[in-house]
This record gives sequence, C-alpha cells and structure tokens, in this order.
Amino acid sequence: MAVDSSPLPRPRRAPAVIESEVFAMIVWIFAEVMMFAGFLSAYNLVGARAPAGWWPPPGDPILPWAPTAGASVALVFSAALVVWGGFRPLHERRALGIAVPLGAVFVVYQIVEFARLLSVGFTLQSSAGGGFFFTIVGAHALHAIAGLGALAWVAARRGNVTEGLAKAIRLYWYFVVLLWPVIYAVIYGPSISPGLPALAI
Amino acid sequence: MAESHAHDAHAHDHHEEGWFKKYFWSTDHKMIAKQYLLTGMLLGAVGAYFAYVFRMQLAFPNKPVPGYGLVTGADYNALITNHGAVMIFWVAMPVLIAAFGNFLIPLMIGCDDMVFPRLNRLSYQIFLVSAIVLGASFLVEGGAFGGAWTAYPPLSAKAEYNLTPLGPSLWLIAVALEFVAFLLGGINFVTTAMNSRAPGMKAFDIPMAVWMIVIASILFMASVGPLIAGAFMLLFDQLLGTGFFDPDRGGDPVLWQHLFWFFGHPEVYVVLLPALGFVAEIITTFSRKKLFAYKTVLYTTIGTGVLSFFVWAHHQFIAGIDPRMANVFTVTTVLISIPIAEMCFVYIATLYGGSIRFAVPMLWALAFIAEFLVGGVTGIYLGASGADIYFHDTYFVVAHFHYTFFPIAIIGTFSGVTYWYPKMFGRHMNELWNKVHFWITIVGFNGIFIPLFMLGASGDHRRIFDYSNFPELATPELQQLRVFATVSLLVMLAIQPVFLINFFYSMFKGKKAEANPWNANTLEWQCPSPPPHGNFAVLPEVYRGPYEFSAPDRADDFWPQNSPT
Amino acid sequence: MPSRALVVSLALLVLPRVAFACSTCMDPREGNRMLLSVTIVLSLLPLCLMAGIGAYVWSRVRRAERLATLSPLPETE
Repeated sequence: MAVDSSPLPRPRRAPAVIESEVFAMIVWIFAEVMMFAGFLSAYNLVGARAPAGWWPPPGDPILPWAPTAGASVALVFSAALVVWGGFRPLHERRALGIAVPLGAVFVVYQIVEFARLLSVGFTLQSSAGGGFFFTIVGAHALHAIAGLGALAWVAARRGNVTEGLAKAIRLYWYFVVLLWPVIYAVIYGPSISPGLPALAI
Repeated sequence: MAESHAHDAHAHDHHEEGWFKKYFWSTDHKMIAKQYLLTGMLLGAVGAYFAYVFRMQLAFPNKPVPGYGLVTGADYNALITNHGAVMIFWVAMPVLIAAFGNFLIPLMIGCDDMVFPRLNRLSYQIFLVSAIVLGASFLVEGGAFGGAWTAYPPLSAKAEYNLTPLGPSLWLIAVALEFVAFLLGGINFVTTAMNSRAPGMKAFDIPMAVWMIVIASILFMASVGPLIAGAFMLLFDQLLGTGFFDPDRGGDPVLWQHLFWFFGHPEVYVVLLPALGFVAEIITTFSRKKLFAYKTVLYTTIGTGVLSFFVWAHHQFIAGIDPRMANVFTVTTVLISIPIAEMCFVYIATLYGGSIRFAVPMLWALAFIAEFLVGGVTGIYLGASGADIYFHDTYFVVAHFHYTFFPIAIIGTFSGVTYWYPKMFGRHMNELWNKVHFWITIVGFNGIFIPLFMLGASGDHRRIFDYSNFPELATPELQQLRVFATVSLLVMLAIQPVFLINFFYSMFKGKKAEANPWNANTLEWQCPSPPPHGNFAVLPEVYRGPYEFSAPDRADDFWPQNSPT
Repeated sequence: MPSRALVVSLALLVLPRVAFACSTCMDPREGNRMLLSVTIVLSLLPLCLMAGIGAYVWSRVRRAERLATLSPLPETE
C-alpha cells in the first residue's frame, strides 16, 4: 500500500471496539484455559479410576500445602498491584516495579519446593502422581515466568508499548494468577486432609 | 505483535523487495496463503503416494510395489499412520483453513492485510518446520511412527511396543508445532474478522466463507488445549519415562483416547466448515441466486460447533466406556446430523429455480454436497453404539470417514482453488482439462470407497497388512473388491498430474482474468486480479449483503457489496 | 447345565448388585462419578467460555453503538 508516497482517500473507520491485542490475548487465554482444563481433568480422572487405596500412589509425599499457600499470597498481591497500576497510569511503573518482584518470590519459592520434593524421591518418573505434579505445576510456573518477563518488559519500555499491548499483557498476568487457586485446589487440596477424594474441578 | 494497525507495518516494505524477501519472508497475507497452499499441495502428493503404496500392498500382497519396493509390516504401519496424519494435519488444515483463510479473510472483509502480519509469517514458518520434522521422522533409526494417526498408548508410549525409538517423538513434536502454527493463525483470523471489517459490513453482511473459517478457527482453539496437554504427557512418557498412560505406575491408557478425541471430533468440523463456506459462495454465484436462509446457515453452523463438543466419546464405544455414557453420546452423535443435513438442504434450496451454470467450481461444489451426504448418512450407522460394535475398526469406518474427508479436503479444495484461481494468479485455468480431471477424480473416488463399504460390511478388519494370515478374510470375493479399490485409486491418481500441469501452466500462460470473471458480489472480486500489495486502491465501503444476485430492478444480475447504487 | 443357569439368573434377580461392575474400571462402586463429571465439565467449559467472550464482545459493541449515536465518530485514518 502506498502510504509512504501519496496518502490515498480512505473511508472513515470506527475505532476497534476491543483493541486487537486485547482480543487476541483473550482468544489465546481461552486456548490456554482449555489446555490446563485438559491437564486437570486428566489428573482427576486418573485419580478417580485408580483402584481403592492406590491414589495418591503409595510413596507419594504429602505436598507442602501451607508454605505454598503463603507464597500464593505474594502472587495475589502482585496481581492486585497490576490492577491498581492499570487504573493509575502515572503510578503504573512503580506498581509494576513491586508486582514483578512479588511474582518472582512465588516462582523462586516454587523452584525451592521442586528441589526439596525431588530430594525426597518425588520425581516425574516416581509415579503418575509425581508426573502430574511436576507437569501441571511446572507448566504454570513457566507461564508465570513468561508473564513476569512480559510485565518487566512493559515496565522497562513504558511509553514505547502501545496501550493495547500493555493491556493484553496485564490480562495475561491476571490469567496466570487466577489459574493458580484452581490448580492449588486440585493438586494440593487432597494433601490438606489426606483421605479426602481429589476435588472435582 | 506490536502493530496496532496492519498498514503501519507495511509502510517500511513498500520498496522493491528481493526474491527471498518476496517469497519467503513476506508478511503479505496473499503470499502466505500461497505458501500454505503450495506446501499443502506438496504434502498432499506425499500423502497420496503413501496411499498408493499401501493400497498396492493390500491388493497385490507381498509383491514389490513399483516406486517403493517390498512393503514390510512396519512399513505398512508407518505408511497408514502418516497418510492419515499428513492428510488431516498437513493437507486439510493448511489448505482449507490457513491458505484460504489467509487469502480470503482480508479480501472478503475489505481490508489491506491481517491484523498481525508478522505473527502470520511466524505461523507459516512454524508450520514449515513441523512439516520438516515430520519428514525427518522417516529418516531416523527404526523409521517413522506406525501407531495409527490417533497414537493410542501404550503402543505409542513405549519403544519396546512400537519398535520405533525416535519416530513417535518426532511425530508428536511435529503435530504439536503444527498446532502452535494454527493457534497463531487462528487468533489472527478471529481478530482480523472482528476488527478490520470494511465500514458498513455488519455481522450479516459477512460472506459465509469468512464466517465458516472464523467459526472453524474458534472451534479449533477451543478443542486443541486438552490434546496439547495430552501430547505433552505422551511426549514425557516417551522421552522422560513418566507414567501418565502406564497402568503399572498408576496411569491410564484410555485417558489419551479421551484427550485425543476431545480435539479429534471437533477437528472434523474444523475442516468441514471452511469447505461448506466455499460451497456457499460457489453455489450462489453459479446459480445467480441469493443464499437460501443466510441466518439459518449461520445459526446452524454455530449449533454444529456447540454440538461437536458433545460427541467425542463415540470413538470409544468399544474402548470400555460406561454404557450409560455411550447412550448419551449416541444421541448427541445422531443429533449432529440434523444441522449438517439442514445445511445440505439449504444449499439444494439455493439451487432451486436458479440459472445454474456448470462451471468447474460449480461441479466441484455440487459433488461436495452429493459425496458428503454419503459420508454423513453412513456416519449414523457408526454413531449408533449398537451398530458400531459390529462396524468398529472395519473398512466400513474407513470408507465412512473418507466419504467425509475426501469431499472436505480434496473436493472442497478443488472447488476453492478453481473458483479463486483467477483472483490468486490473475489467469484462468483450462476449463476443458479441469472438467476431465473432475469427472475422472469423482468416478475414481467412488470406485475406491464403495468397495470398501462392502468389504467393511463383510467384516473386513482394518490395520491388517497381509490377509493371508486370516483365511476368512482372504477369500477371492473380498480380494477382488480390494483389487477394484486399488485400481480405482490408480486411475484417480493418474489424472492428478493433469490438474497440476494445468495449475502451474496456467499460472504463466493461462488466459488473463479480469477483476470479476464470475460476476460475483463479494469484495475480493472488486479489486484487481491478482490483488496488489495492500489489496484495494481505495478501501471499500459495504452497502449490502454478499449474495444479492438477480435483483429485479437492476440491469446486471449481480450487485457488488461495495457498489453505492 | 440349564438348571445351573436358571439358578444363577434367579439369584441375580434377588441380588443384582453382585453382578454390577463399571465397564470402564471393573469397579463395583457406583458412587464413582468422576468420569461423568469430568466429561460434563470438559464439554461445557469451552461453550461457557465462548459464550462469555461472545457476551463481552456483544456488550462492548452495543456500548460503542450507543456512544456513536451520542457523538460523531472520530477520524482514525
């Protein structure tokens, strides 16, 4: 198109009702939600169909639900700060400056937790339970790392990022944070009171 | 992804580009569409070659196949597996959704390019890598994956069962990459159709082909998630030694079937809908009539999409699902034939009383309806769980889904290619040779699969590469039917080079096409053939629906969407 | 043998539960409804999400239309 030479007459166009970046991110999150629903359904199904007494598989440790809940608070606060910053563009950079380290606290905690669980012999290969734990929680952690990277990028390039893109990245972070309680309930829930069946999602 | 408006991204590449940049690094939706189309055609030839080799083995067992050699059992398994996977994931998807979606959506909704042109380019590049990874799986130790395109564990999960240590992992990685490519593409399609429509184009002014491609993209994105989850789990089982699908360690092999078919059945509609959209465009144009019941078609399509999420377990009727659940899925499966039948009736009603012209695209479109009906009707037999117990894993199933997929992936593609060829390349194909190609392809296709219905009804089991070990299936009567099917396949394949020569010859030497050779209404015909970079000299404004043919007060029998009067 | 089959059939009439087993997991416990609930959730989830996104888009479109009637469209090109 010859926008660089002579500007051609163009008809009026209504501004997009939802910015393209935001809409694309909604659709992407939709696909992501379905992927995690697949993971969690698989986890629930395998648990429900195991013979009595074989789920969680014998030898699997009780998951550290209390410290994880503590770390989750950091995650929730980071999302709250991102929401707050979204409404106050002047302070957004400062809000992100706190929100990203808070999210990082959660990710670092999970790395430590993974290392401790691996050290007691709970691994990807040890049982189907271990495989599910590290796959699902690990997938969420990778999403959190990607989201934190994107938020940090927005904070670093404030002003050079279109408003739509910044909004889309904030939306992605809300998705990562809101997904976590669901995963926590399904994966850590049974550890809170052993003997309870896995929570249906 | 940083472009807020597509044309900002183009400002910098308006100058004369190099050959590489023009053909391999382009962000122009038309070039990406052609890349997808040609890659899909190439892989279609590969899939057809696989079919040729294993059909020859079935008809003339244990004789060297010309052009391949002796087919071993492992070869046979790898060939049928990759025939299925290639035809669905690397032919039907890239051609019907990606190629036509890329080409048609911006042109039909009257904008200059996709919303995210660079994401679009990335989508094709990931797709190309996935095709290369799939090709590489044939070269590794042990050969390509041979566990059927549905990849059921434990056969696909353990190398000691499938005897191909690397093939299954490469196959899975290729499929996963392909999904990523279409996720990016699908997001682009939906966002573009949402935000870049020409002014005045309301929801019911959007051509059916665009609606169908967009709904298909949404269905794809809604259903692919669980399969991506399952693909990761299967890949971990293969490579990292996890036990998701291993009953010894608390896993569950049937779980994969649920995750796979949760995607697999909507996938049928993902590829069906674009083909139905092309047929709608072609039938209205060549019968010079308004599409009968536009809104009904649209709502029916949405209804099909909704229902398609409730039918997947009909693939597991004999995998040991709860019979009470089988009842539910029988009902939903039979129910989904209603919207599809309704669409066929609507298309026939559109033909009624029209001034029909049997141009080549119209022949393909009519053949689509006729052949797809056969596939749909035989699906009712298989959807009923009682009948399915008998038909399961016989050639009846094979014939049924080829009567759906062949019309979708081959007939639908030919109808689309012959219809939009003048717009894509600015020249006409040779009509006579196209008609010869059409008739021999259609007759050959029925010659292949009608015998397979008969074979399947006689209890002929699939996935057997040499029937001499099964005396009750190695009778001369059944073998004659197999030979008949294979000979029909040879006839059908023999005519395809005529189309390919016509396709490539006409690209350079065909009769020049004017902007609107079929006198159609939709916006893509209102820009020059082939459309220049940026598509429209002046971005169009839309005043009416896409199917205003034979309006009583007009001299012309067509009324372009962008014509003010 | 028919007499034995008759006895077994009559016994099943009195006590049908002994012959019951879930065909999926050979589990006689009927209370295990996880497969059913997962099926329902997984089938309804995409539809609910699509309906939600659709409703959101629709509300935004309606709002934009209302705003457009209040004030003329701004030029964006």
